[in-house]
Amino acid sequence: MTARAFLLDDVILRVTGDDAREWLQGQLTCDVGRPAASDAPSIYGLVLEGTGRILSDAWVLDDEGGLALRVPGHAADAVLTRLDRYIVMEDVELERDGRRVIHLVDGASEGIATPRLGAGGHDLLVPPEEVEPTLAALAARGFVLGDDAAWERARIDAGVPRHGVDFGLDTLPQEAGLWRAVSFQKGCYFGQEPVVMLEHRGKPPKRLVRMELEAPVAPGAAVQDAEGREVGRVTSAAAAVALALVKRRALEAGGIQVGGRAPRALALLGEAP
Amino acid sequence: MIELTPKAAEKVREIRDAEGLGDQGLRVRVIGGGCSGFSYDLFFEDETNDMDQRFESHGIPIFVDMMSYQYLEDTEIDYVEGLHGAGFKFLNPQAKSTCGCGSSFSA
Repeated sequence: MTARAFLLDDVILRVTGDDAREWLQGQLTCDVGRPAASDAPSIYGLVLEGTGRILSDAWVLDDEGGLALRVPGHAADAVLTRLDRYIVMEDVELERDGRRVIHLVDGASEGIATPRLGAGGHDLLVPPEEVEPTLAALAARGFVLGDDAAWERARIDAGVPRHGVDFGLDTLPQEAGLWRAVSFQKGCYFGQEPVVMLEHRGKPPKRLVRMELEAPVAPGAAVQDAEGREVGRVTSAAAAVALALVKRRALEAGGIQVGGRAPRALALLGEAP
Repeated sequence: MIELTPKAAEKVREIRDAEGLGDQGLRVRVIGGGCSGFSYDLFFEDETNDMDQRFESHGIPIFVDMMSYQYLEDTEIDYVEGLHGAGFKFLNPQAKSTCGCGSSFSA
């Protein structure tokens, strides 16, 4: 495997103060209730709206006496505003951390274990002025430096959905197949009620799927059932590999096609616990 | 204003006496968390500060910090018992919605 390095657009938000952990536990879908071991991998979680829809995803890490969330750049302001609203009298400080995130895939064991592509992978948190020297040093060690297009190809190929592209404010965690980001044991958190009700009383109306197609496709392309009715849309694509949000009933019925041809392979993203 | 129903006041007094807490007051506060964003928190306390709102209801002193009070104004605290359990129930006119278990609200 080729060692690769990607400079991501993630923003780091630091949460500090005596009540930081207990308070954050009530804000995220993942379980951050106990301090993590120093070599423990980052925990993947979601920041939900009260409706259960997804305001952002986040990789969470115990960091220098507090917790650090790595959230997508486009969602950082919304997450800060949302979280800030729910600090009442708790001893919690929220602040942006200027460090950038470089993600290493294959060939590295340094940094914070962060399985962004499903397995392996490490994040380096780097001050802005050290980004260029760090990338240069990684290139000198044989890392291939990837741009955003390369990151898109890598994560689509790995079947990893991206917030703001494949899922977001119109998607429930189960529709995006993000059970791995949700603890059903931890207790209450903001937005929990619709998520738990869906888990125990219903089924997600749509599901994200990964498809390998016969020909390249563009995001926005229609997904159709056997009768040619539109039952979903491609949300992201890298050549002939695509992620798409498709009605669950159509997936259960079978006969899914894109551009009039059945995919060579189709798999649901994520598995229910 | 924050008030206790007679039944809630009786229960508070019962718990306070059982724990030997003398004449301590009831601290009511709002904390971030719970299914709907905000949760209620109740505990006994005998210390207040200048920033607290102070009330008395059926002989029970009630203390509320200024930040919490903006979410609690005119709340009535009741005590309810039923087959599903027993506990203090907040009738809060500031709450736009309440989660299923009633311990969390949105504002």
